[in-house]
Amino acid sequence: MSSGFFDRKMKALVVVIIVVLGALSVFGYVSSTGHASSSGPIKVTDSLGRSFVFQKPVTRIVSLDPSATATLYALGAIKDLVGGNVYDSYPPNESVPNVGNAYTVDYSELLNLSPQVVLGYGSTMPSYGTYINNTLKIPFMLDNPESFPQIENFTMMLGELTGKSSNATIIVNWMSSSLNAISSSMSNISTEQTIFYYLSNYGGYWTAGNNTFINQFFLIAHLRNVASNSGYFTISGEVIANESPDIILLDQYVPESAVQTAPFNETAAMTGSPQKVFTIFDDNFFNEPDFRTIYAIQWLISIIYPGIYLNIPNFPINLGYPPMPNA
Amino acid sequence: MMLEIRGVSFSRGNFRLKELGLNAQNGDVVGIVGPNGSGKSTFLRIIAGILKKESGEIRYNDRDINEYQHMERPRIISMLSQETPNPFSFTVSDVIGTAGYFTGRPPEGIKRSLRKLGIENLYKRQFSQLSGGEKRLVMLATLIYQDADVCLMDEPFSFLDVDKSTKVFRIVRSLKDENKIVVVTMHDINMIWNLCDSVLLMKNGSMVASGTPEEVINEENLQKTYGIPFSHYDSPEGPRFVPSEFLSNSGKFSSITAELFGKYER
Amino acid sequence: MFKYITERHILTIGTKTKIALSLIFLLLVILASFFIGSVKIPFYTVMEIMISQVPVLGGMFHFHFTSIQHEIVVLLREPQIFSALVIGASLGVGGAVIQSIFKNPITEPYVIGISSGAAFGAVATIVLGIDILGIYSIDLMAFVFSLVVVYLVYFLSFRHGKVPIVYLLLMGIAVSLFVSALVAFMVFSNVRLQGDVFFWLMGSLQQITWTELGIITAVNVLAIFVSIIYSRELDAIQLGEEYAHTVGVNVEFTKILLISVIAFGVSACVAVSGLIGFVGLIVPHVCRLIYGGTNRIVIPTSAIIGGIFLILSEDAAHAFISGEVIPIGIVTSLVGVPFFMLLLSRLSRGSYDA
Repeated sequence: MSSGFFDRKMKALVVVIIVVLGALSVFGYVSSTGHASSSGPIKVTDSLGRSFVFQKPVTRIVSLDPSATATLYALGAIKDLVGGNVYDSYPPNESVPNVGNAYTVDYSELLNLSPQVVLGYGSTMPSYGTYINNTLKIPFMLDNPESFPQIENFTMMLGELTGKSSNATIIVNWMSSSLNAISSSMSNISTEQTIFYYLSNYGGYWTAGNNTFINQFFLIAHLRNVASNSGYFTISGEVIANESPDIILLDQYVPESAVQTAPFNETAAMTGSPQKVFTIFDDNFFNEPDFRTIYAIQWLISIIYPGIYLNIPNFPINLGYPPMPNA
Repeated sequence: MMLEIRGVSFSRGNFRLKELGLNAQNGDVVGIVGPNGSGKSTFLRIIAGILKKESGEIRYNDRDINEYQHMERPRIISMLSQETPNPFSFTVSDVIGTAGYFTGRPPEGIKRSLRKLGIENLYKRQFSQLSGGEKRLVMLATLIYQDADVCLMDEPFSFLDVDKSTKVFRIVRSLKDENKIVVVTMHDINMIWNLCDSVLLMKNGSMVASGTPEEVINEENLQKTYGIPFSHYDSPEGPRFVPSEFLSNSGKFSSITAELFGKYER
Repeated sequence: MFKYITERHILTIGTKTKIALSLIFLLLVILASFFIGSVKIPFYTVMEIMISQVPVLGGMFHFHFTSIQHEIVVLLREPQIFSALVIGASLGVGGAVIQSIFKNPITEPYVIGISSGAAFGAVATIVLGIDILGIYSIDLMAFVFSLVVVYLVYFLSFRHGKVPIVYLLLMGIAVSLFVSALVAFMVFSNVRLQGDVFFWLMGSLQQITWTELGIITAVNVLAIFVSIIYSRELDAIQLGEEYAHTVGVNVEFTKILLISVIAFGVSACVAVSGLIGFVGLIVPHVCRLIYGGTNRIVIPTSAIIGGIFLILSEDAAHAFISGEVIPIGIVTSLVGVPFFMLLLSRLSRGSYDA
């Protein structure tokens, strides 16, 4: 049930605040993966562009990133995972020890597990990452995929790291064909509906605008986000009332009662019949950028266009815990 | 107006006041004298009803102090504290005005009380900008403006220059002339002769002696109170008591002491 | 109200004029704010909507505005403007009263435990998923715990039948730190909700409904009224509690009464708006610098200036970035601090030197 992505939201929020404060905020984004051959040393690159070289596939991994944990499982490399984090939700019933969350890491537990690499996430290097990398001398790789090509790169990188490149290729191909299936189905839909994503109802109408992960889903689903500013922010209620979105998408933890009053009660989503207010079935599918994101888009399209047929191929690797949502 | 205090005791931690008493009526000035920490200020606070006595009686006009309502008390008792307040943005007239809030004294009295002290020029000044001595005079003006029957004054002469302490002296005299009861704590033994009708000597929370200055102020009582030997000499104004140490071998004052006490003899 | 300001006391023409001008300015700020927002609504349309709300007059004309425009003005802008007015006034008056009681210029209403208590109530509601009153659960819990902490601080500070102000201040700080640690622990134990908690703490006037506004207005009208009635007692207390006692003030009663009404008023505001810093600290000083004088002037004007300040802050929160609303707690400090520094250097006339 936990989700590391909330911390991404927080970071994005902090960035917004910093911009408001007029401070200079520079965040570069580099993402690429190594393309080492199947034999010889493995060279991989993290999202900050730092290169790491391993002589052979790693067998002791600590993951502070729930997306990495899920991907390792899909790759068949979960046996190499020796430590997880409190946000891990897939695969369920994780048996390895928790090493930390987004703020704190249990260093003695970490050292005790003697990992060869620690996987973390975030757009900037967390302080514990620097400590793990520079003081504990354990390679700390940071990742932060924010688009489908980046998820694919990320999956390939983990495949190379664990010697499961062939499985990684299978997963990436499945993602591509799924996305193709989605876009061909969507090509029949010419209308563009407007959507408001209600992220949190505490301290204002929090939403996600441009340059956010979830906004990419909206683009794929031919939806126009009424929140047109960049990043995560508190939108003016007046904009919601004025734009009168056709669809309101509630975060898993926003109650439906939060949209019964102004500025929501007069919107097209609320006054239409039937009402188009949907609650995200499981935040983790939307917040953790990995191959399972395909299912998030599938869900979104299926609830908004009930008549559409999405020909998503079955997941090509047989897993003990199937990756699709239970629903 | 009658002020009768009998057998007042009080304790807080290790500090105790034991069986204190005094009597005064209209036009009386009562001096309370004793070393630092002897409980003079605490006794004044008990008389004012700020601290609750544990036993004994404090009666104003045959009525116990506890029977007076909050709104009644300021017409009966006023008190000049040793501490100087530091209000944010009050002018001098704002500060003095507070003393009339609950007694309905007319605001014209504010200027009049300042005039009595010769500081009516301070009327519109920011209180926080005044010098320490000026602030104390202004607080004395609030006491005058409050115009209560009993005026309790906690070391009104301390930290003032000669001119200002003379003003205070003059005010105590004029309060006496207005038939008020003044209870004043002080350190200057020799001022007692010129100022007080009766005096209470205190040490460690207990009374050493009380009565008229002639009855109370003598070498023996002073030595009991302060623990050092005292001597006296005669002056045209009456006897003067000083620690024996201050007298030189020739039997005259050292120059410092003469200067110290000379100010009351002009 | 104004009887107490003008009655008997020396008020220069200058101060009266300044207060009158401030009231006019407040009215202008309120009116102007009807026209400020993320969505452009034509001037005459807003006027029509405003006239349509006047009971008799509204029925006499035929108006041309859309239901969306009506909703934006009546259900979004108006509650925000009036809640900014009420909350600003509440925090301003709360600051003036608490600073007087504590005789300390760097205190504010939050210091007696209001903020940590409200945060505790709100965070407990969010983290534990408490549902007592539907969407008003947080309001209720924040309000209740705010008062619980204030009275806890108060009763822990009792010494010899009195509440010495130094004890109260230190106890307020100590208990607040303790409660804040509990809040931090709750947040730490439920990482998923860190965002929600953080968002709540930053404060917002966005989601205040007419119902909530009605309640905080009632509580705060009472709180401000009592504060004005007791401004003379507060003046005396500012000159020392013993002094106040001898000029006829029931000091302990006045303290508990005023702390109670301020705690109720400010807690009600914090419960619906989250934590809005800076207003309670600075507004009373601004009033002392502009108008000078005693609490009989400072308390009513703190309500006026607090209202003006928070309405302008809310307008600025909308104006910074089109379509977005910056958390108001950020704006109050960003706008307020430089303004206060300017005022302090220009106007203090040495009255703060001592």
